[in-house]
Amino acid sequence: MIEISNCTKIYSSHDGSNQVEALDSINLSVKEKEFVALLGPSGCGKTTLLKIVGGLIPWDKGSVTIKGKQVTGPGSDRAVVFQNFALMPWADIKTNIAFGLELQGKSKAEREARAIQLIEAVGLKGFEDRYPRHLSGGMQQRVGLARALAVNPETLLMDEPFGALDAQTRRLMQEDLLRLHEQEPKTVIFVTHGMDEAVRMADRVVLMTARPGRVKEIIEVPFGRPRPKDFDKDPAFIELIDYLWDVLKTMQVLDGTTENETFSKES
Amino acid sequence: MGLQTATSKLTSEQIDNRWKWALRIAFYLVLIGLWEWFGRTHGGLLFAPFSETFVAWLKLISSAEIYKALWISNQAMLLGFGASVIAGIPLGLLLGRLQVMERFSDVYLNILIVTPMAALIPLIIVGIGIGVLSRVLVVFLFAFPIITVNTRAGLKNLDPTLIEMARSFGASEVQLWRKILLPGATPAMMAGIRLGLGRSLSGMVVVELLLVAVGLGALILNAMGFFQPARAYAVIIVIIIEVMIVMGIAGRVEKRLVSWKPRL
Repeated sequence: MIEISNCTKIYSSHDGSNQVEALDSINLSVKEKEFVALLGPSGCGKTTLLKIVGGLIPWDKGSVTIKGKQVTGPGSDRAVVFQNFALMPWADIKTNIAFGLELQGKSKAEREARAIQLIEAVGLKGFEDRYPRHLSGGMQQRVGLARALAVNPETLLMDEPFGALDAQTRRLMQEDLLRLHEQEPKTVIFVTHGMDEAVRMADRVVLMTARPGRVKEIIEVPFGRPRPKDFDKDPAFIELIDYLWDVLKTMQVLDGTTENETFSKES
Repeated sequence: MGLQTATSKLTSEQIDNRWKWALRIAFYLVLIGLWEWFGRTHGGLLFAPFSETFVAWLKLISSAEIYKALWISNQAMLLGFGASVIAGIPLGLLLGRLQVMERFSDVYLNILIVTPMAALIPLIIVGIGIGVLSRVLVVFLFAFPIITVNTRAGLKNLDPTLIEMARSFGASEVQLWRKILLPGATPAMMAGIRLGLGRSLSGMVVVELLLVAVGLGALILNAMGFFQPARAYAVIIVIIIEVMIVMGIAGRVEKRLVSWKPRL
């Protein structure tokens, strides 16, 4: 459904002298309702790629199509979930969730109904009239997720959605997202730093390298859907994580930039 | 014994409050006492003790001339303040949104904020003369820079992810303004307006004291000129009361509109 072909993105400084190739000839095919994780070190372009698919930033070479049509900008077929939640602090939860619908011009009644529906779906019942500042990080991200789901997109673009959460909340959110995906599967592109998270959530893991951003390897995750019980105790699970870590480790060393990079196996 | 039981029935918060009030009253009494003493010992032609000031104030507020003066002075204040809001907010929003213009205007705006506007008053008088317009202009110049800068800051400090989020859901530029930029910049705008109001009140009095002797400024100058310091201070007290009332209302309005953010 999503075809990324030879996609290249170059960032240049004001006078054009300094050019950074954020993405170099990315080739990736995402099937309908497939859950794909983009995994890689900082600077590998995974968020850039996500935003390109979302129509938020342009690219320089190659093509990016969804169902055969070029991406020209954001659209109602795609919705983004942001790492820092991006909730409007001056609006209550219901209004935040209905934001996308409001932009589309949907009636108040419709927005209200849909918001209530989603509040239940993400487990926020009782908090409709609260404001983001009253909510914990995990709850705020539930709002972010509900907002994305409210517009009924075909594709969910998630930019390290659980990166700002503590380990326990993150784990909870991962399980909730898995459950939601099982109930109503969508095409998902999920950017993450965590190998554990990628293997837990995705059908395929796209390993990317940095400087320039390239696809290093694409690995199939052998567990089907719905995830079998205790699939994360399966030796294959651990082997896969170890394999991913081995590859990522070499990227770090070769790169020589390990100052801020910490890869945790549990994330 | 009775007092002891009474005290034990009070909460510690109530006791704290009572101490606060007692201290406050004591503080004011000390101030008034000092004022009275200083006025009686070092007073004379240019300084009046509290008691005389208080009497003069009572006389003042029961006369018509103070209200006429208030009206004259505040006319210029309202016009100048109104103009500074009408000009300052859109300009601030424009500067906040357009990066290019900002680099150019930054220096000038910062200079305007820091410049003591009172120094420009003679220039204005020479250029425009002494009339309502020059007073309005002075008030405008006092208030306009801070309103603009605060509004601009409100936009600049908006979380850029919010803008990206709105774009991702398909917001047009108009929708972006209505749903994200304006609501998000409102706290800073309100703070700027409040600060601008304070400066307007300053400007209102300063221009009258320095060069265009009408309204409240005229009353003060007149009183000092006739060596009636008590009357002059009485006028100043009236001004202080006005400022307290106006700023108090402004603060409350601001709080209601921006309950979602702490006051800047």
